[in-house]
Amino acid sequence: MKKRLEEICQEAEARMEKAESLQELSEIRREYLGKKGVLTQEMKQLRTMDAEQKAAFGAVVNEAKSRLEEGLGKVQTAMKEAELEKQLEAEAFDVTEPATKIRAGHRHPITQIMEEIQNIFIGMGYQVVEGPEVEYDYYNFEALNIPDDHPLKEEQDTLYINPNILLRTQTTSVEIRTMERQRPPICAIATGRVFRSYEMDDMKSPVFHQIEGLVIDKNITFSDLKGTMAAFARHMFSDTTRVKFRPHKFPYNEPSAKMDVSCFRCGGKGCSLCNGEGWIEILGCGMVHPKVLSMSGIDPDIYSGFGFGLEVEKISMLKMEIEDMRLLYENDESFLSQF
Amino acid sequence: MKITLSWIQSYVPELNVSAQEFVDRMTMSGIKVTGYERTDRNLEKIVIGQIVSCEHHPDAENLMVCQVNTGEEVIQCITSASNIKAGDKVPVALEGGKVEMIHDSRAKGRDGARINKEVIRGMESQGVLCSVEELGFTREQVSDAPAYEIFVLDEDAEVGADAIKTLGLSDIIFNFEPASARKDCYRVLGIAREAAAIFGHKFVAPSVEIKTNGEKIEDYLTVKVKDGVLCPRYCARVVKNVQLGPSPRWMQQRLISCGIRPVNNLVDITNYVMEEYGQPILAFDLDSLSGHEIRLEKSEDGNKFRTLDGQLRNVDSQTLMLCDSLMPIGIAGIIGGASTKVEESGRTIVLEAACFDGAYIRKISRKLNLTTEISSRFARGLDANYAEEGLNRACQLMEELGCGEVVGGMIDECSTVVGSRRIEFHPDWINHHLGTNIPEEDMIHYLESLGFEYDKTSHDMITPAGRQDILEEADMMGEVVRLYGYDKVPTTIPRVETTRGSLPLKMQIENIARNLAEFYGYSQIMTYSFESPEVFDRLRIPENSSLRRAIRIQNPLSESYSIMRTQSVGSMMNALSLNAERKHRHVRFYELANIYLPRDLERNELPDERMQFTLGTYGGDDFFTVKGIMEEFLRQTGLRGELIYDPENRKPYLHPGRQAALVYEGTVIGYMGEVHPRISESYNISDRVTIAVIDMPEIVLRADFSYSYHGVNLHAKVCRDLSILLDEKTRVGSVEAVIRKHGGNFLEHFEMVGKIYRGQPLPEQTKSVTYRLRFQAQDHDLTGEEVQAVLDEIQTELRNQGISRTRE
Repeated sequence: MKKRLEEICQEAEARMEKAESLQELSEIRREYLGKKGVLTQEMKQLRTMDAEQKAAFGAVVNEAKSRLEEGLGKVQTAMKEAELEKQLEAEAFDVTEPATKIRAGHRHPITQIMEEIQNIFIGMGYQVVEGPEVEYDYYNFEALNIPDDHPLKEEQDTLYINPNILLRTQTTSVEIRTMERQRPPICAIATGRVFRSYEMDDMKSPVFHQIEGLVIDKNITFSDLKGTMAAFARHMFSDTTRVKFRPHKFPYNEPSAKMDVSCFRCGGKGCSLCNGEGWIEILGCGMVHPKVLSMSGIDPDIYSGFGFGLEVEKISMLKMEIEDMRLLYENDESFLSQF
Repeated sequence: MKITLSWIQSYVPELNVSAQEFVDRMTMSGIKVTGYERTDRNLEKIVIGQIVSCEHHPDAENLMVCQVNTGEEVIQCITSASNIKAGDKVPVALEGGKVEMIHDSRAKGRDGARINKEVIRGMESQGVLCSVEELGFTREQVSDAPAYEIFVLDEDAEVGADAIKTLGLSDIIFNFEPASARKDCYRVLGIAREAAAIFGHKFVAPSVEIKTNGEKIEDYLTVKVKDGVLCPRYCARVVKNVQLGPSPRWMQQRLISCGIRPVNNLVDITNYVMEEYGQPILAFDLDSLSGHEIRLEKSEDGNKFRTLDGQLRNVDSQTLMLCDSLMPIGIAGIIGGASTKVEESGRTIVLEAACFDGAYIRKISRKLNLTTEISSRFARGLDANYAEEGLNRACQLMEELGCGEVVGGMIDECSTVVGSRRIEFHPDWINHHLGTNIPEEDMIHYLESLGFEYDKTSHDMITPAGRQDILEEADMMGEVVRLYGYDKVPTTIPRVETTRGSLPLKMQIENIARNLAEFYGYSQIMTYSFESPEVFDRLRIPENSSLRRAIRIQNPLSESYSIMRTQSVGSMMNALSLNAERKHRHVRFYELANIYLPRDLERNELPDERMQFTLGTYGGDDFFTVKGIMEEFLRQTGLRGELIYDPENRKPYLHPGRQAALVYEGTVIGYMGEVHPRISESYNISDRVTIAVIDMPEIVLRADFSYSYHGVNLHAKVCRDLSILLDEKTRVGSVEAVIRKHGGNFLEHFEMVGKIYRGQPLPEQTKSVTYRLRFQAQDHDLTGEEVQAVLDEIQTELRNQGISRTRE
C-alpha cells in the first residue's frame, strides 16, 4: 500500500516537473487531489478497514497528500515568479524616451536678490516695510535734508507729477515714513521700485529697485553700522568677503560712507568683474543726520541710528553676471528661464 | 576734474607721495580720486645735450650730422632739422629711450616711440635731437619754438641734466570726483587744502596783493545789481591798457593738464583762476558797454538774444540778463554775447566775478537747454567769497604777468557773504556716536588742519568760511572721522532691544502668489510703471472709461512713458508680444506690480496704488486651467467663501463670450478671460491669449490663515452621481449654485465627472453633465434614504428653477 502511494507520488511529481503552465498544474492537482482524484479514491478504501488499519493508512495517505500539496505549491510559486518575470521583461520601456515636460516658472532675478537680502535682514530682526511709489516731495527730499536748492535734487533726475508729488527717486522716503509712524527701537528695511528720468541703456533704467535699511535706538554708533554692513556682506557674498568703507557725503547721513566689498569672483585679486580693482561698490550708508531725526519727530539727543541703501539691479547684475540692464526689463522668456 | 600733482604741491610744498598713495589716501579720506595719468609716461632717457659740431651729411644735403655732448659722452646724431648750430643746447633722446612721437611718423600712437641706434645713409645715429612735438608739448605751449624743428633751449640749461624734469614735463594728472555737497572741492585750492589736512602738511594759500594805478573804478564803470536773492554778489574791477599775448609756459601747462586749451594771456588768466578758485571770471571790453554801465535785470517774455556761440536763443521774464545801458550783453551766469569780446591790445576791460543762486542757474540752464563751463560751476551754488578772492587773484596775475594796469577799487554789489559759524564741540558726544575713543587733541588737530578754529575759552569750533556744508556738530563729526580713518573705527553689532524680523501680510500674500504661479509654470516679468497713453486705444478702452483717467508725468522721458498705468494688461501684452515675435511657442508669465488710480490730485492726494497679480499665457494654458490656478490661489489665501464667475464682465479687450469677473462674496476681486482676437492680433500674437488679474488689496483684506482641526471623520462616505440634461445656454454654474445651496449638512464635496456631453442621443442644443456628490455625516453612517432625500431635493429644485430638462 505504502509502496503504491509512493509510486503515485513519484508519478505526480514527475508530471509536475514537466508541467509548463499553471493550468497544467491545476489539472495535476485535480487528478490527484480533486474530488475524483487518485488520492481521494485511495482514501475511499478507508471505509473497508478496521480502526487500527484506518489510522495507519490514513496517516500515510495524508502524508502523501501534503507532500503533493507542498510540491504543487512550490512549483506554482516558481512558475508565477517566472511568469511575472516574463511579463516585466515584456513591459520594459525605453527610459531614454523624453520626459513629460514639467517646468516650474522662474522668479525674476531682481526678486530673487531682493528676497535674499530681505531674508538676511529678517534673520537679523528687521521688519520689512513698504511705502508709496508716487510720493510727496517732502518725504523724498525735504525730510532727508535735501532742500530745494540742493544739487542732489537735480542730479537725481526726478520725474514729477506736480510740484509737490513725484515718483520717488529713492526708498529712503520710506525711512522717514517709518520714523514718523513708529517709536524706536526701529529695525526696518524698505524695499521697492524707484524712478529716475534715465534713458534706458546697459547700465541704467528709469525704473529700478532699492533696498533701504534703518536702525534707530539709544546708543547706536557708527561702529555698529560697520559691523552690520560687514555681517550683511558675508551673508550675501561669502564668509571671506572683506569690506571697505569710503567716506562720502549724503545730506541725510553724517558721517556717510560708500561700502566696497572684495570682488566675489576673484576674491580681490582683480578681474573683469571688478575692473581689475579687486573691490566692488555695493551700497551707501551712514549715521542718520540729527536734523533728519528731529524732522521725523525723533529726539536726536536720546536716539541715534544708521541707514543704508543699495540698488537691487546692480547686485543682481554683478552676482548673476548680467551685462546689460535692459535684459532685466525686456522679459524674454529665454532670458527669464535662466534663473 | 583734472588737477596735476605739481599744482597741488605749489600750495602744499611738503607733499611728497607716490601717485597710488595719493589716490588711496585721498579717496579713503573722502575726496574720491578716480584715477591718474603720468604726463611723462612716454618720455624716457631724454637729457640736455650741447651740440659740439654740426655738418652736412656727405651723402645727403638735407641731413645734418651732429656731435652732441650729453654730459657723459659725445654721441653722433643725424637730423633733418636745419635750425641748429654748434653750441646750441637741445633735448636729446638717447638710445633705448622713448619720445611721444617722431615727426617723420616712424611711430605714432598712445604708447610713444622707442629710440634705437640707426644707420642713416651709411652713418650711425646714436640718438634723436627732439622737437617740441617729440616731447609731447602742444603748439600753444611753446609758441616760440619752431614746428618740427629742434627745440633749442635757453643758454643756461645744464648739460647732462634730465630734460624731462628740467622742462617740467614730469607730472601726474589726477582725476577728482568730489561729492556734490563739497562745493569747496571743485577747485584746486580746495583740493590742496584737503591734501594738506589728509597728509598732515602745511597749506600755503597764494598771497594776493594787487598793485593798482591810483585811479578809481567809479570813474570808469557803474554797476546796478538789484536782485540780491538770485545774485547774492557781483564784483567788478577795471584793467587798463591790456596787452594781449601768450601766457607763460607754466600757466599753459597747468591749463592743458586740466584739459583747457591756452588762448591768450587774458583768457588763460580767467580760466586759470576759475580752476584755482572755482570762480568764473568774465571780461568785457569797457567801450563796448554803452554808458559804461552794467545792469542785471530780468528779460521780457518773447525776447531773443544772440549768444557767444552764434545762436539766437529765446529768453523769458524769468531770465536774468546782463545789460549795458541800452541792451543785453549776456545771459547772467550762463553765457555772454559776442559784442563785448576783448579782441585787441590797448583796450580797457572790465573783469566780472559774480555769484548766482545755484537752483536758479540750473533752472535757466535747463530751460535754455544750454550748459556751459560757467553755468555748471554756478549751478553748484558757489560761495560768495570766491567772487572777491578770485577777482583779486585775476587782477594780481594780470598785473604781474604784464597783461594790463589795474585800476584802483572794486565794485561790490549786494555782497551777501555767508561767514563762519560757531558750533559747539563735544568730543565725548562725537566718540559716543562713532563708537570710538579719539583723543580730544586729535579731533582739534584734524579740524584745525581743515581750517577750523578752536575757541579755547568757550570750547566752540569756528568753521572755515567756504565750508557751507558744516552746519552743526554732526557735520564736524563727519570731518573728524574721515581724517581719523573709517578703517580704524571698530566693528560692532548694535545692541538694540529685541526686535522681531517680519514680512508684512501684503508681502506674504505676494509670496504665495509667486510660489503658486511658478509652481504652475508661470515666470515672473518686470515691466515699467509708466506707459504710453496709446495703450487705451490699443486695448479699445472707451473714451468715457475711468481707466483713461491716468496720472500724467510732468517731465516724462518721452510720450511712450508719460502716464502711470491704470491697468496691468497692456504691460503683459507687450511682454507676450515680444516673445511671440521671438517665436517662443509656449509662454506663461505673471507679474506682481502696482497700478496707479488717481485720487484728487488737485488737492495733492497721492494715487491709490493697487498691487495687481496678473497672469498671461499663450500656447500654454486655456481659460479653465488659469481658472483653476485662480481658485487655488484663493484657497491658499484662505478665501473659502462663495466665488461667482460673472460673465457680465464687459472688458472691451477680452473675448465677449469668454470672460468673467471674479466676484467673491459680492465684491469684484479680479477678472479673467481670453484676449479679444483682434487685440492679440494687434500685438502680433497668433495664438489665443488668456489673461487673469487679481486685485491684491482685496485679497489682503480678506486673507485668513487660521486653520482649525475638525477631527478625522471615519463615518461611511456615500457617493452619488447626478446626471442632468441642460439647455445649451444654461450655465453649469447655476447647477452648482443649486447643489451648493440645497446640498444640506451631509454634502461634503461635489465635482463634475467626465466631460460635458453633447450630441446623440441628446436632443439638439442640449448638453448633459454629471456631478459626483459625496455625503458624510459627522455623527453616524448615512443611510441610503437620507442621501436620496437630499438628491431628490436638489433635483426638484433644478426642475423648478427650469435649469434641468427632463429626458424624453
